[in-house]
Amino acid sequence: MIDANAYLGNWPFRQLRYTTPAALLGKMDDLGIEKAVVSLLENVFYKDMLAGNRTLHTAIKDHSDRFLPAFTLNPTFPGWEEDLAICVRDFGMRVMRLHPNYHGYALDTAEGTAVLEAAHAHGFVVILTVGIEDTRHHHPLVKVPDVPGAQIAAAVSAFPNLRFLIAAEKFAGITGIWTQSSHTENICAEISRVQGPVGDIEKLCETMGADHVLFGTNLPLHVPEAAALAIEHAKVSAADRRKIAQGNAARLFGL
Amino acid sequence: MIIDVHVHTRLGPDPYGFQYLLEQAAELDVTLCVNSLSPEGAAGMPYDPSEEEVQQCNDWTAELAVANPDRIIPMWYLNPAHEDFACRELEQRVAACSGLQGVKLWVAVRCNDPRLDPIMRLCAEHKLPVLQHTWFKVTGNLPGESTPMDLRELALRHPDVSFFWGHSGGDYEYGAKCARGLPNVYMDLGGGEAMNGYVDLLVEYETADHIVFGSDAPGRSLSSQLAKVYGAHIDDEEREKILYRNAQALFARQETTTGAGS
Repeated sequence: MIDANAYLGNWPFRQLRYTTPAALLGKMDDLGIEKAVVSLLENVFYKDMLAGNRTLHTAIKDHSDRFLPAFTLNPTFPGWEEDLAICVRDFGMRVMRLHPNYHGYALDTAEGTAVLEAAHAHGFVVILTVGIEDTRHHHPLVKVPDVPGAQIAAAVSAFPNLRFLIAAEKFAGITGIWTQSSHTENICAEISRVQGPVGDIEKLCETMGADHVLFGTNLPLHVPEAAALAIEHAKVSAADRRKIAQGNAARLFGL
Repeated sequence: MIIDVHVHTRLGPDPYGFQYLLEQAAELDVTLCVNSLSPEGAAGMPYDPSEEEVQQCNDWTAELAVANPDRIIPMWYLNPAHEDFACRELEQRVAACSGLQGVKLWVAVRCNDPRLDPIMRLCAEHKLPVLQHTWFKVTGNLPGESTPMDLRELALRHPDVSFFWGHSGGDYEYGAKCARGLPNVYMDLGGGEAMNGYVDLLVEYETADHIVFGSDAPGRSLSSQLAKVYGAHIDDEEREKILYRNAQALFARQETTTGAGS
């Protein structure tokens, strides 16, 4: 399997397992996950994300066969264009992760548009991270609503040639984005927070087509068994199961 | 074998896939403890259902239990605001049901309300486990929605009643601390996302003897909720206790006193 959405690093609000490369690799081995697309979790809150992206690069450079890095950018912070260039030139990164909600901008603002234009110019895959975990459990001083689906639908429609992975979105959110978007060929979604209703994976495949659905865990925030069991239990064809588990991610990320 | 203490159904059309759930439960050998909070024609689940709506919900639950005697345990839905009617409704359901059964309470009133006391005395008499919804939401609770601290009050007031602690409090870290030290509560894993460390934390504070599997299906998938257990760092004995042995032991108390489930 290929995990399309994972992190290394720590989360400020609770203790987690699988935060280091060694621990994450061990868990991946347990579940038969060959590769994972990873970002640095601390970059949700760091201001200087280049420091975090450098930490990520250093942490995984000896495991390039298992980890594909996704650098994090905040287009509201000065110098993001130069940081982007360094991530590409010095770290060889080619997947961009955005957290519009935690970083305080909307995708349809000048900042949002500029970073998506940059991604398009470089031919990146953009991971649009909708949330991190259930908003009902957030720290009382850090309540961050998920990125609105309508905003994502507008962005993917405005950039029909830019490839998007919708990450950590729930079932209804994904189907909403899909139906609201005027272009859908450039949309994929991973299933880490698709945790219902029953039959959710089958229904996603019916709505989007199995070619657009990817295995993802949101490690270390969620237990990866949720996504693994969802695929195992889904009543889909063997061919579609392989696409979701691996084939679609291999195609999207060029693995 | 798995016992799922937290399953919903609704009358009328089946947009949430109860039939799918029944088929999957058969494949995975899951016994479903089913309640209905959704009367026919309602837009959703009324927060304060009428007497007629409660009866309609329970009629549907009874019908499903009769049709699936080896798969479904009915959990009778009550509105404590109905006071005497709620007790009569429960007594009639218990008298008419020859199998295992329990009670489900949702958000009609907060569960530390004294109007629950007569219902709890009946539950103690008939050894009916009570699935009480709880949630502590940083985004704000519904009117009448019980917090884990409300359930702590109720559990202390009724030590002879066994409680399935709905959603483990929603925010399971908050719920786990509220439930600590209570011998008559069982943390229900149903609902919410499969957070890394969820079950590990509950085992640390409540021990595996006080956790039961619940899914909150069909709104939640069985896969995601089972993952909480299979992804935890616990041993096989603890896993079996959570998945079925604890709930099985609670329902077995009914069998020894009433012959239910024979």
